[in-house]
Amino acid sequence: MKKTANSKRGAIIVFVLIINAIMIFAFTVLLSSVVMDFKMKKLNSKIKKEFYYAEAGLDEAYAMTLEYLSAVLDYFYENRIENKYGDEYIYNEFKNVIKGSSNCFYDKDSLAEILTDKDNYLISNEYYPMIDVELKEEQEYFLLKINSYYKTGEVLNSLSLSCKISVPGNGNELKNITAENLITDNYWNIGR
Amino acid sequence: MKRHDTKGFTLIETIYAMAILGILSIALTSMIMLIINTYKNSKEQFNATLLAQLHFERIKASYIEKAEEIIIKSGDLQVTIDIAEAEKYKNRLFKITVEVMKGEKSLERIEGYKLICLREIEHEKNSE
Repeated sequence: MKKTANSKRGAIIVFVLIINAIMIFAFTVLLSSVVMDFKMKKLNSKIKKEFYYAEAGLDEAYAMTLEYLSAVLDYFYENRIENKYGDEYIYNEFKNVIKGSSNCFYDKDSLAEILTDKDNYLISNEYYPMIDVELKEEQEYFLLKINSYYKTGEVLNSLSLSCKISVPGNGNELKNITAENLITDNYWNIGR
Repeated sequence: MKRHDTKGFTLIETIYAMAILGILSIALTSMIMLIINTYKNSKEQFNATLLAQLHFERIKASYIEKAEEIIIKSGDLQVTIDIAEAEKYKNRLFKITVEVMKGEKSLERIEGYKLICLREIEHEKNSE
């Protein structure tokens, strides 16, 4: 049978196949875009969770610093009442305690060592953020910088806190001072 | 040759075409269902994340006195806020867990801490 130029035999199949191809292409594009959107939402959720873990690490480090300073203040205040130490001794010894070089205080670790020890953190059980601590001694205070990171995959959530830790000038100050009073000039910073 | 005129579609052609379209429509229906479900899940996930973040930030910004559990209904989502004391830090720190659930399914869970300033409390203690 000779095919003529006007022959339409098989044309419907061609038409159906073209429609099929267009529909499959359109739905594949739609599906991939929806799946991509879902992945983005999941990533958004993950980033937020990890940000809060990093923040929790920083909060706990700050609370730990306050607890540590409270204990140091209590120790010196009790000993001050008993008139064991003079003002100058307290001033220098307070600095030594923070640096971890004191012979009198029961905890021989420096503040930086305590803050970087993973075992000291409650949050370390499940989601431990990386904690970096820098402690710098100045004339009448310490500069404390705490960095908290949480990284999985390619996203890094990081938060940092810088503050000054004042050293009580004399023994009488110990009576009315709290750990919160010693920490000043707090500066919080967020990075991603 | 009228008998061999090829103009128009034959019955066989039409049947084949319909069969192919039928098979395709089955495949496409499942694909459409998948698209709809993925879109719904994506929207739910986003709403759950926003809701969890909203309640978490709200708790962080408010004053906490004691440990408690708060349940809030938001449409078909349920938000459970669990505030627990971190005893190690003598009420300086509360652990906050915000979980958004739809039925039995957990869509979002955010955990963190709330730091409490004890400045006033310690002042009172010292003045005594």
